[in-house]
Amino acid sequence: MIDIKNLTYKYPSGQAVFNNLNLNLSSGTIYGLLGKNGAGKTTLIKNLLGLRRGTSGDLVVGGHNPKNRNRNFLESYFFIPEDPYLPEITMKEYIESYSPFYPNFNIDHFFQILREFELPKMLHFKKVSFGQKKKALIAFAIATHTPLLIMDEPTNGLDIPSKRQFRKIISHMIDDKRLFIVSTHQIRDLHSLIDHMIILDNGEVIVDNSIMMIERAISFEVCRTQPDEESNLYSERVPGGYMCLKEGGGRPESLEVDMEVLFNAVMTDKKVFSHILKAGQS
Amino acid sequence: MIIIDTSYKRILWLILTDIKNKKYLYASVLLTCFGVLTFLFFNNSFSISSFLDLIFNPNQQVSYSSRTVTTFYYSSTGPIAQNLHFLKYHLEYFPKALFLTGFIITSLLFMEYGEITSRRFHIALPAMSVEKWISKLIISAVLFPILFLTIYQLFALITYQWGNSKGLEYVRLHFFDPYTWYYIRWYVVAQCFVFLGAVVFRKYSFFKLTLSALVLYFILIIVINLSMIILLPDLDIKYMDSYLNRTSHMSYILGNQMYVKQGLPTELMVTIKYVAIILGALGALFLSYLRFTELEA
Repeated sequence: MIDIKNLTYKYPSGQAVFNNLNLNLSSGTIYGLLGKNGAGKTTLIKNLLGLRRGTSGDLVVGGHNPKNRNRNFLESYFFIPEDPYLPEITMKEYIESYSPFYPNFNIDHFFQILREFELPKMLHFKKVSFGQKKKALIAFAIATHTPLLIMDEPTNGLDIPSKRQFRKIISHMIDDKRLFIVSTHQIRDLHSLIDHMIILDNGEVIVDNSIMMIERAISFEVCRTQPDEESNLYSERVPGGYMCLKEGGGRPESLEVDMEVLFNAVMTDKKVFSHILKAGQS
Repeated sequence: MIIIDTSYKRILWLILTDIKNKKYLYASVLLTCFGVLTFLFFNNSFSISSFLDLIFNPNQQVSYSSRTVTTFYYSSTGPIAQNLHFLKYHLEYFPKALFLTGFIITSLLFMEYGEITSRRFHIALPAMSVEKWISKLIISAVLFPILFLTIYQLFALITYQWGNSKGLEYVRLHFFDPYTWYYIRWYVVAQCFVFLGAVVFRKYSFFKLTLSALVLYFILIIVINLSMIILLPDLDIKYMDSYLNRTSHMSYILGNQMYVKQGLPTELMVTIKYVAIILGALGALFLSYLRFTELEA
């Protein structure tokens, strides 16, 4: 659904952000977009939405060239920014005003998600908290049924039960025709949701693997003491010992992928992890 | 469930959405305007025109209201011309209220593009830039004048009834009177420039626009005066020192009453003036569209 070929993007100052970036994202998948501050996540999202234009290379989103930002393209995505804006009107007015712009908007889904978030139907956006605004916007975004849904730090501002609800809703709403991209630093909130991990660093994709591939390539084990064996790629102190990452997956004692530990590990030794994960892809 | 599947419907929906989102803002501008008008009409102790005359033309013998009536008398052929002195109030305040309220509302049209979060929301709205731009233009150039005229009709009716009850002969201001449409036409032309200012400034655009208009106005005076001196050496410049006098500068700088020794025909100067204004207004609209598409990109 998203095809990026040799994308080069430079800031107006001439500083390059992406240099021949290649990515291919398919429908039916929830992608986790990770990276340190300044790694290029937001710039990549802006390129996907046509708000920034690459200096060279090809970028196709759902058959559209985002640069043109034509109406069909605008109908095909919804973006939830970290600090969302909502006009100071009631939720009823918001739905009446903006839902007709999205041809696949489903009002029943919208009210269903509101119920799951325990949000009342009668809300005035001037008088609600940041978290409630965000939940209302998430409900609206999902109910639009746009093929592409991009969320930047969606769990920021959500209370603990709402984060759980969010994971449940997103995992129920993904289907073969939709693609979700979640850009986040709060990976512990979302690790159970993400099917595919993309890590950006200095404008380069250093990890682009599905969780299944990662499980096949790396084992995650808890060791009581800090391991010194050669097969140990990385270890990090966790409650009860050390989380150890070892080459080769499928070990009986292996736990599920810990994305935060993997992210830290990749940042510690990009070359080794990049090599192992690329080998896992092939 | 409403389905928006044509440009026409999308423009209509964008207009409704804009009005819904800013209904309190627009209503407060209109209410303030008519509140002030009502105060000025029904109070007997303060006259804004006398106050302005006191500041700007302390030696002026003729009051501003009479001048307006006199000026209008020559350009009016409608029924109003026979009842001029009963209509002084409307002659004086209708254009002021129309222009001031209209310009404030036009300057608020693009305010949502002034904040980064709000701008991001609006540019993601699935409609073409040209549809969004046209919807704003319709609000400013079509809907506002109609709404204003309707409300002013009510206001004029109330003052007429009040005048009758006091035994005063106030004339009703008719919706199709040439007087009202004369100013509506000029409002539509002038709002093109304000529209451009609203797209360019977005935040506090009315204040920035007023300031820019003043600066441009003085630059225009200087450029026109200098070019006239250079291009027309025979020009009698006896009016040159009066360019700051508000009774004559407008006509003077636009060439209408220019006194030329070996005369240029007045009709030609008037034609040039109108053509320049219309072209300028169209140019302002075109520039506003270009700037808007930049904001949308």
